[in-house]
Amino acid sequence: MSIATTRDTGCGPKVLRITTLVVLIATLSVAHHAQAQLVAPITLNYAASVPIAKVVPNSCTGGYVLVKGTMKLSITTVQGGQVPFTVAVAYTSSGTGQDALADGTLVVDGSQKANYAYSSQMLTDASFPSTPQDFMQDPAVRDFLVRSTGDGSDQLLLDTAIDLTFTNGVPSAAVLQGLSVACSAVP
Amino acid sequence: MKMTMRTTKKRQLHPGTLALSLTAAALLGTASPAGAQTTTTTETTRTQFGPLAMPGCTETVDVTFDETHQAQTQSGPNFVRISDTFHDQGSGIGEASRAQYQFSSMSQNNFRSSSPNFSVRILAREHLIRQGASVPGDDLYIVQKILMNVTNGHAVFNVQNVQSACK
Repeated sequence: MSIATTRDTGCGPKVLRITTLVVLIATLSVAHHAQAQLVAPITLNYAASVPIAKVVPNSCTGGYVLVKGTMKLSITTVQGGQVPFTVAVAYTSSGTGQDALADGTLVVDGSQKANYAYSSQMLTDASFPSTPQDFMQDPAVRDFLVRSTGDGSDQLLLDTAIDLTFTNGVPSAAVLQGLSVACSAVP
Repeated sequence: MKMTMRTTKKRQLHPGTLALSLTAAALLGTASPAGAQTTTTTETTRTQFGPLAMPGCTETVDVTFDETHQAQTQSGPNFVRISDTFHDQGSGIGEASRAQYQFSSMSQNNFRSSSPNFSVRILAREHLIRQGASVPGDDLYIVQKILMNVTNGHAVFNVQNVQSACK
């Protein structure tokens, strides 16, 4: 538009060259900016916390355990890096387990053993050739519940199932699917 | 040593089944293309490790274990769903004390993706339980980095490395 106006007013070739140069610099600047946007990876961090409180059967002893804890998720997505799309998730869990009845009432008659304690960090990372429309991960997040005395004779393996769904690379709320418990003490 | 066994079932939807599926899909709010084919594959991979001399909490422990992945993969147009049940069983022997350690576990990893090509790395832990009286400070774990590579909807598992950790 400015080039045409310059021609119409007959301002001569110098004005035309300057206007052309300005347009060219502006075009190159936009192109450079667009290229920078394509090359620079976009890193986004998300965090979620899932409280856990559930009575689970203690298959080592035949009783029950009240498990109380927290699962914290730290999620990082990177778009446009060396790999087109990556998702890294750190699952950090901690909690306790107390001998209980099936209804969650704590055993306090003296037959209870020392409380269980657990803590762990589990990492996953996933790579994609392009940002997937839909991706769901529910890895086995394992914790070992060991009595605070160190007694491993009734150690429990606790698997926490948490569905984490990404839609076009954006995570939705982490959903606790359930806890699975097994006796991992080897006779 | 690694052994793999694989079975595959392909399912071309028949018109009657398709109508039912489309009804179900409509009820579920998802669309299924006409004539869509889904393939379900079950593959069992068993790998034996060891003996691996791992730095322990109180001494070096020679660890031997078996890991089995039973992966069921369902793939169709625009999705792949993988359910991996893995089972670890192993033992360890303290090099100096000859103390015995054992572990056994079974867990499940589940994934769903609209992309038939992707990879996931997972850190999995095993707690080695010392047999007999517990020794203070001897709280030994092995941590493995498992790589699941999915190519055209086919998942392959590989243990990239195994390390010990003392909690």
